[in-house]
Amino acid sequence: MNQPVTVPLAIEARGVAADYSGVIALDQVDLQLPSGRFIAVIGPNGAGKSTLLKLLTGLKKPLRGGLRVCGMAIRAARRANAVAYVPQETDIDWTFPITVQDVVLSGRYGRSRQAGGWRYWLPPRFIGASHRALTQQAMEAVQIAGLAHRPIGALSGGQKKRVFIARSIAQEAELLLLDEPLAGVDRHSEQIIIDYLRAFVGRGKSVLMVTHDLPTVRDCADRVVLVSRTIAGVGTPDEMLAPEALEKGYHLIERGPAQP
Amino acid sequence: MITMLHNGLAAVGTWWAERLLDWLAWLIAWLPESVAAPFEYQFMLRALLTSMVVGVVCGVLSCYVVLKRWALLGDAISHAVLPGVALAYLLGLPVLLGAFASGGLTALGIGFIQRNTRIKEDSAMGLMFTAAFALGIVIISRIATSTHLMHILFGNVLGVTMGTLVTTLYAGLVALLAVFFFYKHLLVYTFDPSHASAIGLSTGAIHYGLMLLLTLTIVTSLETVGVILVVAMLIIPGATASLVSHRLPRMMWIAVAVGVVSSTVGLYFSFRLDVASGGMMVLVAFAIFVLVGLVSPVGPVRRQLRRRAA
Repeated sequence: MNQPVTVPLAIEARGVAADYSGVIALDQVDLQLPSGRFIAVIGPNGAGKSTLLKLLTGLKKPLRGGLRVCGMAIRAARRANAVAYVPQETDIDWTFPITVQDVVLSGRYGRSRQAGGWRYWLPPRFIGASHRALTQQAMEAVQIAGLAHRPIGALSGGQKKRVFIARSIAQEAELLLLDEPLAGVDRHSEQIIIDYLRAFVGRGKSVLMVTHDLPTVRDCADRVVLVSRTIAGVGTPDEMLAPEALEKGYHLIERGPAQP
Repeated sequence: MITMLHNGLAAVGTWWAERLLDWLAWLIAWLPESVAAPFEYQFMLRALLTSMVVGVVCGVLSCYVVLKRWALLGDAISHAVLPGVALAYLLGLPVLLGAFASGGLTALGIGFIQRNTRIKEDSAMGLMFTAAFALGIVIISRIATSTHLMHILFGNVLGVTMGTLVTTLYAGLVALLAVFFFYKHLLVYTFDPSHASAIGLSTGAIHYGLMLLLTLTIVTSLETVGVILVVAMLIIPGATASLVSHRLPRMMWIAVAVGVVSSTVGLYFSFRLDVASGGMMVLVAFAIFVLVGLVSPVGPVRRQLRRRAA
């Protein structure tokens, strides 16, 4: 954590805790992650990785502590469309009657509100040509434009993930949160996703990816955050993927949350 | 001031209701004499219009109930409005107000039990809504005749007055406008609440807004199908439509069609056979569901045909 303070922070957490009906899922989370980096979040099942993402999207309110993303409080960041989210496979109802194009277009809804005007209050078909054009570009960027009118449930695992990546592209966010984006994804889709994420970070944006895929972490991540009910460590992939660091993180959870 | 507004709205509503009734009468005149005969009575025309409004609004809302897996919640709210309806009736307040109050209190109670005990959501719901329903029944049995209780529980569409019809029209209009203007919000919230939150929408407000809409729909349908069967009209049209559609707008149109056809055809048969209107409407809706299920792309009929062809 000896980063010079001149670098703007993508994520800043001070003493954050979160609970589910009184059961603590995350405690004493202190993080200062610079922007323009590819950050991987690893840790055992039930360690609070997905909870961390829920806190960052504002879907979950922290029990205590302060949380800022891209230099803004969560509320302001949400209003500014600064954070985009790519959900885990199991979080989505794949029988939902929605087409690929409509999912990607929903990335523009927040931007439509920011632009103002009466169109925002109408159903999406009236959203306007500029939003449609950006939706089309987003689909082309991850090669799903040909699937635009398919129902979301008719796609393969990798194509589904690309749809949600395209939604985040359409949103034009500063920080991209991904929950297991490579689980159940074919080689071709994985390559497209990784290439896009690298290019995104190359443009000074930030990626926070929750994953179990340690080889990809080694190849792509600039920084690794090890989560185990609290932050068990932050460092380079070489440091954090060393056997002793992993051992520490993956064993913490069995002993319960860290004592103060 | 408020009475002036109320009277103004009532006058405008009545004018429109009369135009709609005239238009319906004109439409029905085209039907064969044997089908059109019952609708020569004004009360049948009013019942028909009320049923159609209920069919449309329930059809639209049922899509969200099915997609959001709120069937049990819909059942809970429909039962929970009963004490409010009874008390409002007793105190001479608007029925809608009482329904919102008791529906809202029950929802808060469910949340409170969930947060403060180890009881799970479905038990908390079942516990609270049956308690509210019981309270409603006790109140009604004290203040009204058993016929009145029957009407609230099972609907009394043939007894719809002009005043009720106007209220139903307004409630239906408000519900449809809300769905139109908040279509995007409801879509994102139903499909992916995390994304809704990330782009700055308030998921809490949308959640309670949708619950309010559901309560409004239920109160609108009280006279027509009654407290006990309204949840059927909030599930069957959406469930039927979900068998055959891949996009939400289309699903809504189909659900509206199912809702309107079942409420009007149900009304007609209930008059012809002299049986309860609410029950007949739900039976027609269920029959449509079974038919669509049989011939839908994944249903047994098409599967048989494909097997023959192969």
